Amino acid sequence: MSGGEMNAPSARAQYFDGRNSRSTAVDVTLAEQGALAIRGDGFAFDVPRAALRVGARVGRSTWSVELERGASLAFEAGPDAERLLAALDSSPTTRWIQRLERSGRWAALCVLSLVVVTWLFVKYGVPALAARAAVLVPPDVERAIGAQGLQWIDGWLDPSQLSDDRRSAVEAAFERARTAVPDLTGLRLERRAGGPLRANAFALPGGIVVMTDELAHLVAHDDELVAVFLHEFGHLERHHGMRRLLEGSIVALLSLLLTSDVSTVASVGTGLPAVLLQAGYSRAEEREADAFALDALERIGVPRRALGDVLVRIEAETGSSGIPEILSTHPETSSRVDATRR
Amino acid sequence: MPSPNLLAPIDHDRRTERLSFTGSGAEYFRIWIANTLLSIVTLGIYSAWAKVRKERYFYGHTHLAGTSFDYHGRPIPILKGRLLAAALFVLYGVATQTSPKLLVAVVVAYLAIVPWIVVKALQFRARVSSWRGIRFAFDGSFGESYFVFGLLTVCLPLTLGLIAPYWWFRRHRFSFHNLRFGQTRCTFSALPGQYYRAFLTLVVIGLAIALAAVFLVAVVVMVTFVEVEDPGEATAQGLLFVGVGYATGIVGGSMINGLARGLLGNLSLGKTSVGPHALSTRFDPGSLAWIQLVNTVLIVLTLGLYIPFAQIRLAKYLISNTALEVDGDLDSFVANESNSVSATGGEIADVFDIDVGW
Repeated sequence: MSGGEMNAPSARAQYFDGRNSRSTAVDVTLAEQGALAIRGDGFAFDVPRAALRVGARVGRSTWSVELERGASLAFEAGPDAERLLAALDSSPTTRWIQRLERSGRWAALCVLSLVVVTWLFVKYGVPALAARAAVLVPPDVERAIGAQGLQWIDGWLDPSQLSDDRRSAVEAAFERARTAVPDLTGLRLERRAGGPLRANAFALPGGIVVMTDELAHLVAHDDELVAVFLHEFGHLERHHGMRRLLEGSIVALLSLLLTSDVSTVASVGTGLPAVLLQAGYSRAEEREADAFALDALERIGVPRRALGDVLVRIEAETGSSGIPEILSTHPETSSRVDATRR
Repeated sequence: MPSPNLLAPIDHDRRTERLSFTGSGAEYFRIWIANTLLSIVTLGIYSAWAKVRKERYFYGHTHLAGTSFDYHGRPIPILKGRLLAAALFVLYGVATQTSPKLLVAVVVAYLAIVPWIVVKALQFRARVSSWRGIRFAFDGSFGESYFVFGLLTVCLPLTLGLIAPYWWFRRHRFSFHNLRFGQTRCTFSALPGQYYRAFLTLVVIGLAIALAAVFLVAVVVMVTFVEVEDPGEATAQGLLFVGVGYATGIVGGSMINGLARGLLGNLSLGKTSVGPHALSTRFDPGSLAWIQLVNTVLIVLTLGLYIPFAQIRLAKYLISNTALEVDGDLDSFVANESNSVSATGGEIADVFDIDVGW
């Protein structure tokens, strides 16, 4: 033996022949061209590099090398085995991933990047994805989702009980609002008794706008109804409802893929931040819908302040401002009213 | 002085080999965080490699009689399975949110496909697991799977859940009785009556925990409730009560989860034999309830960063309380003819969270 061979990486291992479960202690040495020389009590053979499959070395667990015909070697993690196996499998990727997995400093950096990446993705990536996808949803599907939503709402809202003249005023306001947005199709007004929702209006994907009787009574002028409808049309035009649904699905799908091994109980906890962020999307959307409504009001010659007035009225009636803004789906009314006066 | 051999009569044919787990939370945390980060920046592609690395870590740290287990799953088949599973999930999500008719069709299709997936998942899991170079195998038939995961699942709501213990008994019997280590068959010896007793215990303790939770929430509400006029304050108070209820639910839920793991683990894994060698478990449901409770609370408080420590903690408890009562020797298991099974079943089961293990 020459001096070079004496220094060849070598480690103790268990050898399994793949036919029965006997374990044999062997010495494994790196031979020429990446072959392994396996020497045990009473047997000795070499395995060429091409017949070896080096398994991923994860942490300080047992590391294995698969040989031909189901035979294998199991190494206890350690410097000897590391030197031997690194000589067999030293692709830059392997080295890089192992460094990532073993160093505390990298782990700290990973935690930091994870927080930043997750935040960036949920904050900007998911809404962007959902906005792209929402435009692609066929109108039929959107209408079906909206109809489904209305059915659900009808489970706990009573039918409208407006007087005939109030009803025709609401319908006239809806038609006036519609003239400001000729590009929007499928718009439909649904009236309901507000019940727990009190004075409120909301849009469902596909073009359904629901208004409660309480809101119809609350307004001082029918221009304010036009403003409310245009605000809801703003949500529809931007596909906000559809986007919200898609955002929810994307976040759910991703957290499922990434944490598929977390127990259900724990994923309830990890789901909470997503709920809070959902409320955040909605605040930006309210501002968008307000801006859309203000533009449209100007186009049909209704004073801008109609929107501000009705916002103040709704706030006075329902007291929605009491909720801290981070938990509120609507931005602070005062900031929105200010926007209508600019 | 007599030699120790004379004092302690050693039966060379019968001995207890305890399993041991040597993984550590600090070490696994680094692997987990790297896996998670790489999975995110590659938009989920790396998750297949991450799964292999995770399994290799846990298998490689689980030792029996001086040898650890080995995981042989490969990333590419796992990736294909995950993509297919993700596509099915999107389909399912769209269906549930669009039309009720489509939803019915999806539920029927789900019931038709799940038993098939379960078999494939169990085959894959067994096939990629080995000890001392001998692979496991799974022989469960599609017929039995359709009976247990199709017919009995449908009967579950129809019988108001009264067959739930029997259903679990059949699930575990299916998973363990059809398992093979090389050419050595496993047998499952638990009886349905034992499952009914375990469920009775679970229901009684579960009700006690639920009552305690309701009582706790009621006390919090009574102590902190103040008459408020302002609807804003009322909403804030409502949020507080919802939060308290939510927290109590997490605490109670994780304890019941731990109890169930212990009770059912002792009945499934603990009643399985590999040939002549019987597995025995000493899972204490109370200790597991405590472990799950602490794990869940810490996971929530750290926004998920405790997950790797929690997994290690649970694995350590479960594995180190499992032993093999060896009858004869462990050197004479014989391997079976190799066959390959696609990873798809295993991956669909993962995403849809079908709990096919114990």
